Amino acid sequence: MLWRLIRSGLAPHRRALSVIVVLQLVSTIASLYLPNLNADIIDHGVAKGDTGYIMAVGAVMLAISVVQIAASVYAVYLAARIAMAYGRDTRAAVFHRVGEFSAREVAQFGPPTLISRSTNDVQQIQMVVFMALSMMVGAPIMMVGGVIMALRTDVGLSWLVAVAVPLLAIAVGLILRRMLPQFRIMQTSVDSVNRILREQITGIRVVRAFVRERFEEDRFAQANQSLTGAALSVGRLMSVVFPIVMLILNLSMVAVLWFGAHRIDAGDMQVGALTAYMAYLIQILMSVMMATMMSMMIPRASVSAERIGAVLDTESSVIPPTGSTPEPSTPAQVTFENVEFRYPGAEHSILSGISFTAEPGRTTAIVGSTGAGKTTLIGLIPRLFDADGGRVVVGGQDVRDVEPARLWAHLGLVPQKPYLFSGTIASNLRYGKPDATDDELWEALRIAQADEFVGALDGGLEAHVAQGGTNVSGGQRQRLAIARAIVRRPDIYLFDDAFSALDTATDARLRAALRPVTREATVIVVAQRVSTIIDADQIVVLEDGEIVGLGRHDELLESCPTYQEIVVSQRAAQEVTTR
Amino acid sequence: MSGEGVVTAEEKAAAQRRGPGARRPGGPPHMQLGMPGEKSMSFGPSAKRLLGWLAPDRARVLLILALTVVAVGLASVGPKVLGKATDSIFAGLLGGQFAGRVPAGTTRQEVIDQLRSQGQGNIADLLSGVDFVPGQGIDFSAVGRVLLAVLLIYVASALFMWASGWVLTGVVQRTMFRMREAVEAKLNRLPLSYFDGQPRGELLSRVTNDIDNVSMSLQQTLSQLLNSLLTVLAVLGMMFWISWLLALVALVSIPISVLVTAAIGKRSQKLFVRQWAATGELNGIIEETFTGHQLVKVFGRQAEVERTFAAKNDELYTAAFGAQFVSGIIMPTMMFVGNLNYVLVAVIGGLKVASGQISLGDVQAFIQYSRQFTQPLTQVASMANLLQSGVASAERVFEVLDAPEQTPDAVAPVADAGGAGHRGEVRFEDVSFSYDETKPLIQHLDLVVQPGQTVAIVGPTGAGKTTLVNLVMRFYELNGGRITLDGVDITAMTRHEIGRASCRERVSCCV
Repeated sequence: MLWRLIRSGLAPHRRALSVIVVLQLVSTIASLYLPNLNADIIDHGVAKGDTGYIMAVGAVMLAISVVQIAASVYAVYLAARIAMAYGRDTRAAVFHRVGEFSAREVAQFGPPTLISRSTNDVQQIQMVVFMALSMMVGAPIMMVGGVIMALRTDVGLSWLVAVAVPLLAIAVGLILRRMLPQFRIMQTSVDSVNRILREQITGIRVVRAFVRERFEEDRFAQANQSLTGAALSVGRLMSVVFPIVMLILNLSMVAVLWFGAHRIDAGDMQVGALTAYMAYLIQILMSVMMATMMSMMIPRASVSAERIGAVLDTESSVIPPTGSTPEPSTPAQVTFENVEFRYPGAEHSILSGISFTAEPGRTTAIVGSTGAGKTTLIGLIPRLFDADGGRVVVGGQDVRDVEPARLWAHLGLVPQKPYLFSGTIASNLRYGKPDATDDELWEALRIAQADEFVGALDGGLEAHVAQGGTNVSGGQRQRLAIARAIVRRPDIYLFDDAFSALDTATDARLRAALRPVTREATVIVVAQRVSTIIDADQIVVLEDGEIVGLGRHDELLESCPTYQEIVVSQRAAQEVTTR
Repeated sequence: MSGEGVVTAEEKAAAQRRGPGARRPGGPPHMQLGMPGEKSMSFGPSAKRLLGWLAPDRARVLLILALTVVAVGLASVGPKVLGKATDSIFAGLLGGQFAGRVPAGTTRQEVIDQLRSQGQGNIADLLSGVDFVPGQGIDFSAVGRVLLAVLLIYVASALFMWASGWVLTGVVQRTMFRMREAVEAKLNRLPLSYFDGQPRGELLSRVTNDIDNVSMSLQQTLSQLLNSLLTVLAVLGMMFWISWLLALVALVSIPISVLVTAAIGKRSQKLFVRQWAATGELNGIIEETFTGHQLVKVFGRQAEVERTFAAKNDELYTAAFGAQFVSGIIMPTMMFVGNLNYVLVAVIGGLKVASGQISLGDVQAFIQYSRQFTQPLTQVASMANLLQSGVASAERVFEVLDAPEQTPDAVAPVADAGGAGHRGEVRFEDVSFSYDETKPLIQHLDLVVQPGQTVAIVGPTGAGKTTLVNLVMRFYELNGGRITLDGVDITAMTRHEIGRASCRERVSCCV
């Protein structure tokens, strides 16, 4: 997976990659040549006492060193550029893919892990790519070069290389193999810690209001301990690598001297050659060591690659149609035809046999107890999910046949939990209609009963909105979310429990103000409060995912037991006589 | 958890009032500067502070030091002893060349004198530095003994190094545990305004990405750093022992290395700070987009969001590339310095061996030392890269830890609260409170809620209804007057007790 991910990501940089290889080649050969020159100095300069020769060769060594650094620096430049570009492109790919997800996929992963996969995991791979490019390309070249030079110097000792190198590779390989599963555990622990922290930060008010700090601290402490434990295992394994590598390296030196001495004695080898051979062996083993150090980062990056791959390989369950797509007609009627929906692997359907029509110019209300499937139902219209059975028809077209962007252009959604984005009031209101004028914004605010409080804010439309809209109250957030939908002037309004935070008076005023605006639009309102829906042209009563009542308030009050229960449980309904 | 607000905007708007550009990443409000996220890094103090976190494991740190000193000491003696083997071989080689050419029993000095008188001064000079026995070849038993000693030295060194690494891992991870714990506990003491002052993802990045980075940096740098520094010292010692001239040559490379590293390091510091700040900002965008995923889609904003993302992503790319490149130059530069060293040693050493002033084995050991010397220097330099990145992240974590907290609870929980029983009487006595001094909200309010009573608070938006509840919960501090719960001033109670008392008696304490 890691290899696949890296390979596809690095494909556009092929030319720069080959330049790096050439540069590393030059740099490595330069490094390898120096001991050769040193041997030269010893054998021809020192042994003969020729000082002039020593100086001359020394000058050559200097020149080669300069070439070496020039090549190295340029290689680092290219490596940094490529690796960071790779990181940028991978982040963008993940972001784009998540953007394509339907609500189901996002819920399946959960935002916290998607977030850490986008940044944390990409960072891991990015570092590996950088390390690999700047060093690992040099390592095999160095090794091959070193082997060649060593063989040229003395073939008789070459069996040492044949023993030492594989020994090193195997030793390190075994350790790495044990590290991989540990890294997986560690990354999962990282996920847990991140998730808990995110929950705590997001829900800080709830935590404090319910005095749950102690509980949260304990919960965090547990996750913290797991993470620490996993990191300990990994770290301890890693601490073995360096000593083993150094040991093998040094033992090889000893072996070279021993066996080399015999060869010298037999006249098969020169002393200068022995020195050079030792230097080459060091270089070979150093390159293997460098490679192993690099490869220590691989297990963790591998796990990260798995996690990123899981996201990139997940296809959205909501597939946009291809080819020419029809356009829903306006005004848009919304029809559910025998719709069924269930979560994958679930025994019971959330929704079954749902059939009703919401006419334009009419308000259709949907009521039912919590968990009856109301939000799911609304979510089927913008294709946040797809139905498992039956179909949803908007403006005469099956929603699955319409291009998503065209479909959404007809919709104005106010979700159950109003979410505002960081920015200003104006930027939030313009969310559905970027070119809306300030007048249009004020008009929408007026209808949503929000113009007064926005007007009183410092900066008015330009007042700051914190992420999630936490610096305004729940009621104000809802009204802003409603205004946001109104600005868009869609054909179809979807209000998912959008008036719950408003007091009854504001609720009534808002709906009254909304009426002229929605005269030709299809309005679908999910509500818990009877007073909100009492005027609706059509009420759909849901229970356990099925429609148990369909009609106007008065009819249902007589015919539908479930509806009666709901009304009775909200005694206020009987007190409300004003509309 | 939805984190919905408990306060109306009217009441709270003043508190959250910030000018344009309020959405600044990083730092609690009072620390924000003009440029987004631009803060110069003070490497020294921050690094020291970071190391200070290891303090509770002081004993173990000393143990690590001791183990490393032994390991490094052994490893640095190795080459010197190994050099003896080379000397032995060389001597044997040269001595063997005289076999059959000089009468048996001729001493070394005689051979040298003979050569000198024959006009071969150069060779005589060379031989005067070699401890050979004329006529005798390589003494393998001597060589064998030396090599065995070297073997044992290296094995022992490896074992000590392993032990040191083992303990170090424990220390680092325990430190990170403490740091994560401290940060999480800090979150519970920070005022709500701190959380509202920055995007969630930004804060989250500090407590996750940045801490992660610190952990990785510490783990990787500490072990190498200690090892390398001690190696440098030990090797330097050995080199001086062999030949002070050659050692001086090598010594020259230290200040050069330090200067180079410092100069490059200063530049990359800023870039690392920028890189991690950009990471935080990008994280903020990602977090917000993924959380509001539904809305982004249905309002058709996917393209726009991707554009914003791409802009910030590019920023991160530029910063990261700069940081990595600049700090990545350190290693090739150090290698160059090392090579220069090598050249000088080879030349000067060669000259000295030719004139008999040093043995060849010593030069070879010296070269090995030079390599052994520049290698840790190079490692230290490349660690600098990682360390800078880690310290940049550590600073961001410290910013969270340094943020001003909400007023702490009274130290001793008041016993009276238990004695009076949780009757649930709430009393506002001359309470005054405003979010913003220029816009007074609640002034001289008196209110008594008897136990068992249900009091409805109604009023237009912005009158201060929710604020009353928040004040009881002590989410904010009063400007004047006091609130008592069962006769006990709430400032004398721990928030825990307030919460318990008020949440039991009230129907719900948040929206």
